[in-house]
Parts: sequence; C-alpha cells; structure tokens
Amino acid sequence: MKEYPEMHQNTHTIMNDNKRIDRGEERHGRINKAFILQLPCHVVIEILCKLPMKALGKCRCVCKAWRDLFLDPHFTESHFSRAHTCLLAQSNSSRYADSRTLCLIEFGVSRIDAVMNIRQSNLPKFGIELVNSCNGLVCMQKNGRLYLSNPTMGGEHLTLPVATEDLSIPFVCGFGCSQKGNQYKVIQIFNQLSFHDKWVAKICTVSSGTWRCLGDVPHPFLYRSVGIYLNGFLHWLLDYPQSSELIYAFDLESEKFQPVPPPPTFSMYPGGNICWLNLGVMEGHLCISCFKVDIVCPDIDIWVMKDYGVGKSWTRDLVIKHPREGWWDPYGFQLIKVLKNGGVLLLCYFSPFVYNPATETFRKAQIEGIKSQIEAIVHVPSFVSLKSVLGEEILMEEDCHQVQAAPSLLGQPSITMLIQ
Amino acid sequence: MSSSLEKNMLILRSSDGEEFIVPEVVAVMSKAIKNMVEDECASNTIPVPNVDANILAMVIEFCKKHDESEAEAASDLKTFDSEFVNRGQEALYDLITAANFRDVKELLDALCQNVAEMIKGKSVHHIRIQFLGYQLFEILTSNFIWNIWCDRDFD
Repeated sequence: MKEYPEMHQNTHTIMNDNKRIDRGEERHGRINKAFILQLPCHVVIEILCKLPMKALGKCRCVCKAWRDLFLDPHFTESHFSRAHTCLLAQSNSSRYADSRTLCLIEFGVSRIDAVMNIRQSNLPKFGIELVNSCNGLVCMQKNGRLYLSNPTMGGEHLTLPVATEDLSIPFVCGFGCSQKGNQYKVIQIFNQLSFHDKWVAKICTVSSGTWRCLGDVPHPFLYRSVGIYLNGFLHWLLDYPQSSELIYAFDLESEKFQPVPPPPTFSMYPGGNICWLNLGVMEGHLCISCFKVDIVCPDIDIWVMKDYGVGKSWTRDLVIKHPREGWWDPYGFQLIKVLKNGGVLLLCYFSPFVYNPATETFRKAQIEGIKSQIEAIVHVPSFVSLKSVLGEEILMEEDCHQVQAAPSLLGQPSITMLIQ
Repeated sequence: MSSSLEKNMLILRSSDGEEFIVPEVVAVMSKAIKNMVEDECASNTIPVPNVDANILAMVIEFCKKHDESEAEAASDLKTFDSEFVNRGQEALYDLITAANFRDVKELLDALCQNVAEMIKGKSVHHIRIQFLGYQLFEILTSNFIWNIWCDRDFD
C-alpha cells in the first residue's frame, strides 16, 4: 500500500460552498445555454453511443443540434462500430395483415424489449417480406421488387426498379455493401424459364439504379434462401452440396462467385439429403447450424468459422440438445444470438426461445411489447442515411431540415427521381 | 518548497492559483499531463488552466482512487465511480470539460456513462426539461415543425 502525503497546505476541500455559489451565479450569466449543448461534439457522441436504441430514438427528437449530430458521419460510424445485434421483426400474420410495420427488438441486460415500431406508410400494404440487413439498412421484397430502408431513421425508403419485366420471381436474392468501394448492391438470381437447370444472376448498384446481367451462376443455391451478408460477401448454401463445396460466397466488389471451405467433418456425410443446414452470422463470424435428418431426435450442431475463409478454423461452438418435446421442430429453427449470460436466443417456428447450454433447457422468451409470433432477421441498427446509399453528400442544416420535416419527399418517388 | 518534495511527486496548479501535490502515477492518468512529463517540458509545477481548484480536487480524488484500487475488486470501483459522478449538472459539466481537456479517459468514460443513465428511460419531453431547461422556449419555437412530426413516432 503506497503512502500519499497529505495535500499541500492550500489544500482545497470540496466543501468550499460560499465560493462555489458565487461562481455559480457568475456562470449563469456566462452560459445561459444548456450544459449538454456546450459539450464538445465528440463527448456528446460518446454519451449517445452508450445509449440503447430506445433512448437514441428519443434523443434524435430532443433538439435540432442533436438531430444534426445524428447525421454526422462521425456519430454514425462510432455508433455502428459499437452497436449491438438486434432483431428486426414482422408479425407472422403479416401476409394477411398490414406488413409495413416493423419492430426493432433490443436485448437489454435483464430483458428483451421491443423498442420501436416503424411504420413505413409508403410501402405496399400487403406481402412485404424481409430479405436481409447490412450496415443497418434493410432490404425488403414483394413479388421480386426490392425496397431499401433504414428503419431507425423513420419511414423513408427507396424503391428499386424490377430486374425483369416478365414478372418472374427471383430464386434467391441478397443485399450488401462492397467493402472497398462502399457501393451498395442488390443481387437476384433467376431460374431461366427455357432451361430448367440454368440460373442467371442480375445485379443492381443502388446508386445507379439499373440492373446488369452477370451471366450464369455456377451452382444452384437453396431455393428462396436469403444471402447472408458478412465482410463484403453474400453467402448461400448450395442446393446439392458436395463434400468440398457447400457454401458459395459472392464478392460484392469483384462481382464473382467463389466457394467457401466447409467445416472439415462435413466430408463425413456426403450428399445433401442427410444433413439439414442453415447459414447465419454470429458475433461477426459465419456460422452453420446443422443436424442429421436420419436420426429420430437430432441435436443441432453449431459450427463457427473463426477466421474468415480458413477451412481449418471451423469449430463446433455449441450443441443444442433435442428437448424431446412436441413443440420442438429443428426444421423451423433459426439461430439469433448468444446472449451475455451464455444463453442462446433462437426462433422456433416464429416463437422466440432462450436455450441454456449449461442446463440444456429451453425457456420461452418474453419480449416486452410483442404478443404474436414473429418473423425476424438479425439486424444491427445504425443511423446510416439512405442518402449515403445513393452516394450523395449528406445535407446539413436547412436543406436537411426540409427533407426530414417532409418524410413524403423521400418516401414516395422511386430511386430514379431521387438521384436527380 | 519544491526541495522538500519527494521524488515522483508533482505539483498541479489550478486556474485560480491553488496548488496540489500529487504522486506522478496519479497525475499521469491525465494523458495531457503525461505528455508534458514525458516531453520533460514540465517543471515541478504544472499549471492546469481552465480547471479550478474545486474541480481539480475532484479529479485528483478520482484518479487516486483508481490508482490505489487497481488490485481491488472491480465492483467496488464501479460503485465508487457511480457515486463519484452522481452530481449536479453544473459540476458534471465542469468535470466533463476538465476530463476532456486533460484527457483523463477513465473519468470521461464514467461521466459519459452517468449522463447516459440520466437520459435512459426518459421521454423526449423529460429530456428537454432536464437538460435543456434554460432554452426550452427557443428550441420549441425553432423546431416547431420538426417537433410535430417526430413526436408522432415515439412515445
């Protein structure tokens, strides 16, 4: 234990009240402005980054200075780098009810909270499906037409032109951002009508708004599967996996497909019909959940690729034991997130559950504010503006005020009008 | 005076001229002071402009605690932090400015966390009253249209 000598003779105690009050009055004249607005920008950003989404949504509305701060790229970056994984959910009955309302679900220390209901009033009312999320932006689709939006920024959205006029529904689609060029792109893969086993990819750079044909796809992907975005690549599982080729990645930069090495043990079960696989992202790593279909009560193995692109880095991180109860169906299983207390949040047929790996038990997760079943995608919220997707400079001050104050300005026109 | 100082001690002089003797290990928790010490451009007495004696005493108290309790349980330190930063807005402002200016990362972190806790769970209206009380009128009038449509989405 170190000994500190007492402070200097002039040592000032905190209790020097008289002086303090005098100076306090002096200061009122000097400041006459709220203290929080006087803090340097980076300190306010530091404070805001410590807030959950629910509080941030409110802070954005507190005053003009803060609203402008939310458009500041410094804020957007430092917030997104620390943002926690959330869920973006749609009510399961949405095919028949209003599908425009999205719900952001946040995982607090003690509870799971539905924090924001986002109603995108300019989208079609029925049949909107969530595709995937990248950098806080969400891609949605209806009958092959894609919509982009940042749900945390309110109701504005972009409508992309359709890829083909012949009304064919894409086989698979995905949305992502190239890492170097920072270009947002969407890709759709169609089954060519004349050749049953030919697949053609079409890509659209969002800022240009036109579709280009990429030519044939090397292998068929799982029907209706959604591209899993990670580090500038979109990932799909093959429909008929071979032992060496199971996952394909699409590089959004070079616009080329390439195989990703599968977990080493997968050569043990060749052929596609023995294993049921699901692709996902967990804590920034690509992961696969799989179970053998020829077993009565299969456990689900979760494999995680610790170093991206390195086949040997696949490790089996988790095993979800079959609970041997009627409600459990591994086919309806979707892995969401590993919680801070070690529990695993998952969706089983649109209902959220928390699995405790230590005790191998399941518990139905109560989400504050949600009663119905949900369809959900993993989503890391951000305050990235749709304008940055279009590659525009973000308008500050007055211009921006006009856009924000009239949401319909961004909401109604299709992308071509916005670019002009 | 300075001849009687032990080695590894520094004198910090606040903006209103009061002096504090602090061990160097404590003083260099401020990156700004650390840089001065490393560059050897500091004599024994280091002026700390813009920070008055009152605030400086608080900052030193915080740094001392953090230096001593390195071995102590992290939870104790957390309790100390949360009690330490639990102050009125004016003191908070002064402390944040001092911590930011002198670059004391731990203190700035604890203070920002505290302000964040003050914001959490409050409605837009409450945040305005609590933090912007001084200029509520100005804000309400200048953001009139903005208010109308953004209040609709939350609460």
